[in-house]
Amino acid sequence: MEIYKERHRHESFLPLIIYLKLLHTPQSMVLNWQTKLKKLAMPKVIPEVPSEIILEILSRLPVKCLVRFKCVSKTWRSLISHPEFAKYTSNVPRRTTVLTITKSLSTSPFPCIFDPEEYCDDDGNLLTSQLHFPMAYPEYNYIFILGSCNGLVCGLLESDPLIHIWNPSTRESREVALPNYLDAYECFCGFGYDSQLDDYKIIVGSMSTSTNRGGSKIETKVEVFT
Amino acid sequence: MASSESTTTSTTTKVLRLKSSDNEIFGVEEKAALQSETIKSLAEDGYSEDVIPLFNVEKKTLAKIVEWLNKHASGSSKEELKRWDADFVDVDKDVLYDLLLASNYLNIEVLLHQLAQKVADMIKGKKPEEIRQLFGIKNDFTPEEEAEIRRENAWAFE
Repeated sequence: MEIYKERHRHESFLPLIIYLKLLHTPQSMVLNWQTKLKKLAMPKVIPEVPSEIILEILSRLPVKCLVRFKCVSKTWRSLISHPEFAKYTSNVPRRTTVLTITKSLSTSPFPCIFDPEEYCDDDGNLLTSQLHFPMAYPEYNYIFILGSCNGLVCGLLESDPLIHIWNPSTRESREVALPNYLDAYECFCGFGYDSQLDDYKIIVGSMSTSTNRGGSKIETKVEVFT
Repeated sequence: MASSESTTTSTTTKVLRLKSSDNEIFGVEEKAALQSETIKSLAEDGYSEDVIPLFNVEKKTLAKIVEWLNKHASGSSKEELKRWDADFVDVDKDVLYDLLLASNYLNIEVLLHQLAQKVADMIKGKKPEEIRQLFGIKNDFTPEEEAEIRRENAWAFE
């Protein structure tokens, strides 16, 4: 185990490729959601423009616009922040975003470096930019990417007992406490979505210390980010 | 045999009569008209022999809608339709607004999506205050609340 740890420490280049799938749902699903959305008591927009039309329009906007339009009015804010909206937009056909995260350790003295080499935004433009991980990032520290799902990235800092769930598009993040007996080097983790419970789950399995292979499950309620 | 043949012929060329809210009647081939789910269910409800009343659509808007329905039932090539559609939605915002409401009411999904995309493209780069103006929305945030949202999401306002 020590050797494994050392090898990781000195690895200068740790590429992690994460594919974020944003869509590919048949049209019938869209209709299905449309009906469901109507059933939810969504706030009514000004009488002349029905909310379903506003939704049709908003669901075609890039995330940055949506975040900005949250301050148009309280109604718009609730439409955009509604957890159902994220699901609704992901059903509208749009370009799949492929996010490549490459973490370069030795070459960067800067804090928090994520260098997505191919990042298409919702306009279909190819972006090459740095995404900033939500928390302060001490020099020469490590971020472990535990997994990604529905556009969320789940990561863990070496020195920090918190799991960070991060949405690179909206730049929102949540933190989840990790049980302190776990050592990030000695456990395996996964991050996934439970469609039945509409909940995200982090699975942490530990293979460390003793001979009995314990597995623990942390369940966490994470709001669906827009 | 002969009668069944004539039935087939009459269904393919059947014309539905659509009446706008201001009483203008438009004749539209059934095949074209049935792209609207609303017209389809009205026709199924037995309106097909008479005039189908569309109380929420004025004649100037209905004329545009009929034009779209006909074009999309004409068997044009995909490329041609794409060009034609781009021209079709290239109208001022009042017309766009009427078309949006009409396509929503008539439940013509393809058209509604095209129009929504057009509006989305129009407002993409706009500021919140421009959006309020465009949609006639009253800002119901206090200046403090608005400042808070802007602070929390400063990156989106860059």
